[in-house]
Amino acid sequence: MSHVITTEGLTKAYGSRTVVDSLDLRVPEGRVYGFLGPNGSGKSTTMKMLLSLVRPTRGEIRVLGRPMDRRTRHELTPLIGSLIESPPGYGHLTGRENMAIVRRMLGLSERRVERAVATVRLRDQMDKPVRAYSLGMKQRLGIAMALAREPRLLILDEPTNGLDPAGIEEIRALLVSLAGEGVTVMVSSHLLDEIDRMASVLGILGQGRLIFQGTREELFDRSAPDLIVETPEPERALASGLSAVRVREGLRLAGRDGGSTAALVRHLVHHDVPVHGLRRVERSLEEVFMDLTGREGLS
Amino acid sequence: MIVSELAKLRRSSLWIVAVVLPVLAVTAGTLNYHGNQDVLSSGWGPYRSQAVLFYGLFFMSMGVAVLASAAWRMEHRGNNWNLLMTTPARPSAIVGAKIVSLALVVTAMQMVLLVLIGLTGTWVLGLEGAPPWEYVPVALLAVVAALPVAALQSLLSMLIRSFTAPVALGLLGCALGVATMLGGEGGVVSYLVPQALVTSASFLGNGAVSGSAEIDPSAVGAIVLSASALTGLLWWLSAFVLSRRDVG
Repeated sequence: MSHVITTEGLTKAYGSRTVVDSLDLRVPEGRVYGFLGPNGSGKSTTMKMLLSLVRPTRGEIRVLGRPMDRRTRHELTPLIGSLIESPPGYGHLTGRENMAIVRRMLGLSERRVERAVATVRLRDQMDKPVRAYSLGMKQRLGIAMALAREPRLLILDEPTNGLDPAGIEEIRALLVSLAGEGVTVMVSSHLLDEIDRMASVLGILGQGRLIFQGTREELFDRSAPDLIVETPEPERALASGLSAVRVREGLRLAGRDGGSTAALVRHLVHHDVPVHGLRRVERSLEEVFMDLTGREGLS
Repeated sequence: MIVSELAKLRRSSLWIVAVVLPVLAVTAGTLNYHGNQDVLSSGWGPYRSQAVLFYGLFFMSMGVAVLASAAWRMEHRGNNWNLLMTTPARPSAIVGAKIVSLALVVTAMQMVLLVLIGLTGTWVLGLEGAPPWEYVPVALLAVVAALPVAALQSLLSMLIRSFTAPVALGLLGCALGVATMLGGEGGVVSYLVPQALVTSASFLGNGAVSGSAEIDPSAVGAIVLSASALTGLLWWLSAFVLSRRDVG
């Protein structure tokens, strides 16, 4: 699998405070990469470094196969659509005038701009001054500015902020369809549910460090969910020296991966504990995430 | 880039500054001329001297400072920096476009000043004859002299998010310029302080101000040369700073 973004030891420190620490990102081509982490974990700083808005303290970045730094930035940015933090826009100008500025700065055709505006369903609002826009409309304008480049890579920081549920659903569907057309999308969000429903690859950041990177399935494998042993005789199992919690069905055991589950079954058989069933507890991505980030959650 | 910069100026508050400052200068000059007719000789020369007196000393440089702060505030607000820096434009083009757009607004401000001087002199003060044509090239020379102020204020406003702090620093520059001009210190210093250069250019051929030079090729050449060198240096410095600076 080829990667559109790779970083090696990417680090940003402000004085003695390290906000992004030794990231080795791998963002695969044509996929939606969900970038998760609690507020202040370094997501925006990382995305700014990927766009060369912020210079790394250490480490290397390759975007679309080329090194990304201040010397190469101007060659790569036409291929990258981005929306970092709150959406841009000149408040005293209308949406149309703002898009015209973007068109001129990037040398784009009218057709591309029209298409981007239509995609985010903002066509009827283009003659209003941007300062009169709602946050959701500004967000759509920001996304239109990013899409107008018809980019190969989209880097979006919290793109659904301020959108109503229908708007969030539209953007989610849009990003998934763009990935279907071969555009690589890197999207951060504090709404885990959102990422869960659109991203096929996840990167989880905690206190500036990448604590997980891989597919959703790999994430669940990595953090093995609790095991439920259905038995009518939980006391006998506990007396045999097992460390477990009693539940209605029998026992609940934490931290059992494939190997230790097999060992558990042997142990139960050896101690003559009747086992009626063995299953994993269904867990949401949020529970897995909270396990990994030490119950920090996303707020 | 320049066309994009000019597009940002539509419906911008910058134009209010470009009109209000000349109106203030001409109003003060007209009242001064009218109230001191027994002391001042009559005619276009003395009237223009009064009209550009405060303008050349403070208003023009301060106007440029306010314009630069307003121009960069558009980028500081929201996340327009991110937008600006994710275009293919190089830092030199980004700061160059700002300086050029500021120069165009300053040119408009100068034209407003000239028109107001002409109208007020003719219709309010009833001065004889048409306003001398030399006022146009002197006004344009002041635009050239204002370029280093535009470049300096642009650099300060680019680095400082506050609207007022760069303007306050500009006021310090004005005080320094006035001190060098009126203190007769002139010389090299008046060609190194951007605000002093504006004062020198505005007062060329102005008998009302001590230390002002005559309009001759050497005085004009020195101003143009100094303005070009200072602008080039400040432009390069701004681009260098921007190329190394973190955004957002």
